[in-house]
Amino acid sequence: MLDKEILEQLFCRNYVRMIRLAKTLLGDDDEAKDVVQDIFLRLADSDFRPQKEAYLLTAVRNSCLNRIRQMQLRERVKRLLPTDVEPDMQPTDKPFEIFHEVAVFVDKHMQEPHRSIFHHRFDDDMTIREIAITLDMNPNTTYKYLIQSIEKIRSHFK
Amino acid sequence: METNANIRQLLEMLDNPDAYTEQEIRDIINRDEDTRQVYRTIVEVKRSSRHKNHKDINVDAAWQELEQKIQARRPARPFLRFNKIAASFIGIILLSAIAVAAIHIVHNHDKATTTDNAQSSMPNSQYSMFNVQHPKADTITTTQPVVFDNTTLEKMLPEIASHYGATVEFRDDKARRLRFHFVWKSEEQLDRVVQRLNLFESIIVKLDDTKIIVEKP
Repeated sequence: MLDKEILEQLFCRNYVRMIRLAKTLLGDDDEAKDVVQDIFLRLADSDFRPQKEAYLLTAVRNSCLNRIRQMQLRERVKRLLPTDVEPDMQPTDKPFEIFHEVAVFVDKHMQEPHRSIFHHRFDDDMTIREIAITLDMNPNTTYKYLIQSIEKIRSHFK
Repeated sequence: METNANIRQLLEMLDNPDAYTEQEIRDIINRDEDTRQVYRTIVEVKRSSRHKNHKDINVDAAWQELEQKIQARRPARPFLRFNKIAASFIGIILLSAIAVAAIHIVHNHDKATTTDNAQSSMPNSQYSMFNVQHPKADTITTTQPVVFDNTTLEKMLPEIASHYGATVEFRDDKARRLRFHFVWKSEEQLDRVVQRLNLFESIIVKLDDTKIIVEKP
């Protein structure tokens, strides 16, 4: 059984990055908390003391993958989670860089109204119809701009 | 143009997946390689959005919650079990010693009264010692009370709760930091402990099955 003080140190040092990765990958705060707690409960029952942060982040990623695999396709799509889990996942040595780069790219290289449409769709979870009403635009034009934005990101990060 | 139509259909489906069957969803995403890649891009974009818009994380509260779960999963704490065993042994040894002493005293007393009347003035202290040291049965089997002195609720309650296989839920974070002097006997019923905790005016403690709920008044 891992010593409580060692466990607490590991927890305090790594919890923020672990929970942030789990939330990012799963899109659900409660599930993310479950995943990270499970990892520490398993550690508490064992004598294993991970030396590198990457081990714990890999454990988070693998647990998230397992959860996603068990979901129905509809549930994955509702949360915009990967449908083909294996090849899609990023390595965990630098898991946060790609997320940051996408956000920087959107703010730097997208013009209005593309940027607003993009934020409404992915940050505010609005439908195209709701965005069109909010920005007083034609829904077809809204679709067109959103497709252009996604294509721009896709070609940049290919 | 066909690609754009496929991507538009993908975006329409993502706005309302409930309107589609699982097979239709699968077909739309896998219509062609372009559409598949667009969906992957959307997944990455959504992750980036979640990562950017993260909320503040309270590590202390998360640790407390984990600590409670760990304690709830473990049976009664080893030191409490050890105390119980030690108390039982001490009780047995004490009883045996008293029984031997009693036999010895009674034997001497009989001898004294039958053989030499002059010794009937044996000091009363031996009799009184016999009376005083004879312990009541319940003081032998009872465990030592645990004294929490100036201890926060967040430290004290999980320890008490774990003995009963219960968990603790703080509905008010300020209550966690309140410090009390509290004497707890492990043989007390949990509802009696809760009753006594409620004598403190600054907290309201409720028992919901195996969960101790703490609120501020």
